[in-house]
Amino acid sequence: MSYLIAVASLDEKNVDLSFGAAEGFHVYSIDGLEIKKIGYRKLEENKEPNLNNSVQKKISDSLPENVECSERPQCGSGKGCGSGCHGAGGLLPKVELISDCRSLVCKKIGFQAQKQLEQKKITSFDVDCSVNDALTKISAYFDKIDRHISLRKDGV
Amino acid sequence: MAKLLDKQRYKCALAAMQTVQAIDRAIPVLHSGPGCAQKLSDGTGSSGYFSPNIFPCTSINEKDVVFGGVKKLHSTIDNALKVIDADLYVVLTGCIPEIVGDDSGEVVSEFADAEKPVIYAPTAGFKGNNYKGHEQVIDAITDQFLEKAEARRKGFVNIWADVPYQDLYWLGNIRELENLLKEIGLTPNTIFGYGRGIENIKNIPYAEFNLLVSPWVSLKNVKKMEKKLGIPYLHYKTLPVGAFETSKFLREVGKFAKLDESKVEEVITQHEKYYYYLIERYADLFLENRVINKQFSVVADAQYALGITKFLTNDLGLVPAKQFIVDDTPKEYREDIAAEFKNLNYGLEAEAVFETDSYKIHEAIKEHDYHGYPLVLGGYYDKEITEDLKGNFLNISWPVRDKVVFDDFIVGYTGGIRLIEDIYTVASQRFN
Repeated sequence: MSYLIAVASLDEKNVDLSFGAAEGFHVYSIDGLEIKKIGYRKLEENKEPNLNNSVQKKISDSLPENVECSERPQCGSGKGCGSGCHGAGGLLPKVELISDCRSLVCKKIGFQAQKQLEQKKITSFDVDCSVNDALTKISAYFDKIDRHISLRKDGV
Repeated sequence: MAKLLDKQRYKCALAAMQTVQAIDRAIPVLHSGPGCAQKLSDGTGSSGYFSPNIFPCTSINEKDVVFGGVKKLHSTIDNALKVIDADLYVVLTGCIPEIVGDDSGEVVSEFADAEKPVIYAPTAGFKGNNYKGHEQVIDAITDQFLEKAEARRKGFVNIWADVPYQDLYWLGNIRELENLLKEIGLTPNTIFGYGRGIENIKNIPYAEFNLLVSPWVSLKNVKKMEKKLGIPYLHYKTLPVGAFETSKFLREVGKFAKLDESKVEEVITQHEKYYYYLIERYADLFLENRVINKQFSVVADAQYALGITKFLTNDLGLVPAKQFIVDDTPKEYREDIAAEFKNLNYGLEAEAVFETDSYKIHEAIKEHDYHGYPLVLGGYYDKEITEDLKGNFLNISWPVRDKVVFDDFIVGYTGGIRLIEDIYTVASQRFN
């Protein structure tokens, strides 16, 4: 059964974007060990941060008034407002955007974002390697898991 | 069909971290999942300067399974060297990194120039239990740390015996073996416990010979040392408990070391005199038929099962029922060990059963006719069944929950007396 993997990358060659910094994700379809690019999903601007979202509103309400974070879209990047970024609210549109994916590959990811993805059964991998390398390794891993075969390198 | 193993008496090979912990100022660096050290540590007696809760660990997760954990291992070793003041760093690998094929040896070799020695022992759980893990650690020391010595010191002897922490009396036993060797004029060298450590490890190659007191654990190690370091070894299979075996042991060691026979005999006589003085004083207790059980079973690793069976038969005159060896002894040693159980005084023979499944052991104990109440010396798992059979139970092997042992021992003349005290304390309580 095929599944999707979202990748945060600027040049499509290296995994070079953190989850927070990514404005969209390259989405690949994996069938066994076969990898096929199916497109790029861009985050719609008016969806970040979604202040109409009740969770976001609740979290924002709990923040001191003087907290301004101009870098909210950077949430989870470990830069700017940090990996926590005042709660999960800012993350939700991005998580929604890839909610049909099985896995996310990015350079860095914050704890909040990881948990949000986990709730949607999306496995996140923060790695520093090429897109191709990441997709090959992850697809080989999922392939073995799905077919209930040992993870030993020789595949026995 | 799936097999079930009920209450096994050993842990996975990664529990060799306890062997490392027993070496003063040596620290295990674990390349394993989070929680391994916590689960493998024993409840008591493992705190101190280094304890399992602070062992550096790569805490590998799913990402490391997919992408490999060697970078994490490198940084963990690097940082361990920076923040932990130890004399020896022993990298131990758990199941996951070995399954997915992390080349931990390669990473460790990058630290060859580090200020402190870093060595590596593959201790994946699927490769065997902690008895084998213990051997892996000693082999790692031999392979990666020791070099052949130019000259060896006369009378200088390395002693290898119990597996630290797995055997509750490991510390006391090894010290008592040292004392016995000192008395007959040898200079013992051991690497475990208080006041021993890296210097003793460095001294290993200078030994005149290795003395292995164990039925099978570490036989591989002394053979490797013979090959690499040119140290011959004396393999004494039975842990000497009580006068009969200890005297035999001292004579054999003395002969191997070419010591003056009269000096050895003098030491033996002195010890035996006191030993039998004590036995005589308590002869009334021993001769009181109803106090002690007629037959006994030991449920322990090969080391204790053999040592204690010989002691109870040869010294105390009890009759052995089935003896259960629970350490998953490798098949190549089993025949030899079983033969040792046939080699008892008074023409007696004991049947040694190699069994790791506690359910089967307990069924066998239930089925056997002990001619009265059984005496069972075993792990805590055997307490309930012994109580059901109204027998006497003494906790002498892992798991240990019924006894706290700091540095007590069962080896030698004094050790035998201590064991008699323990057995008769339990037996006499029945009549209170």
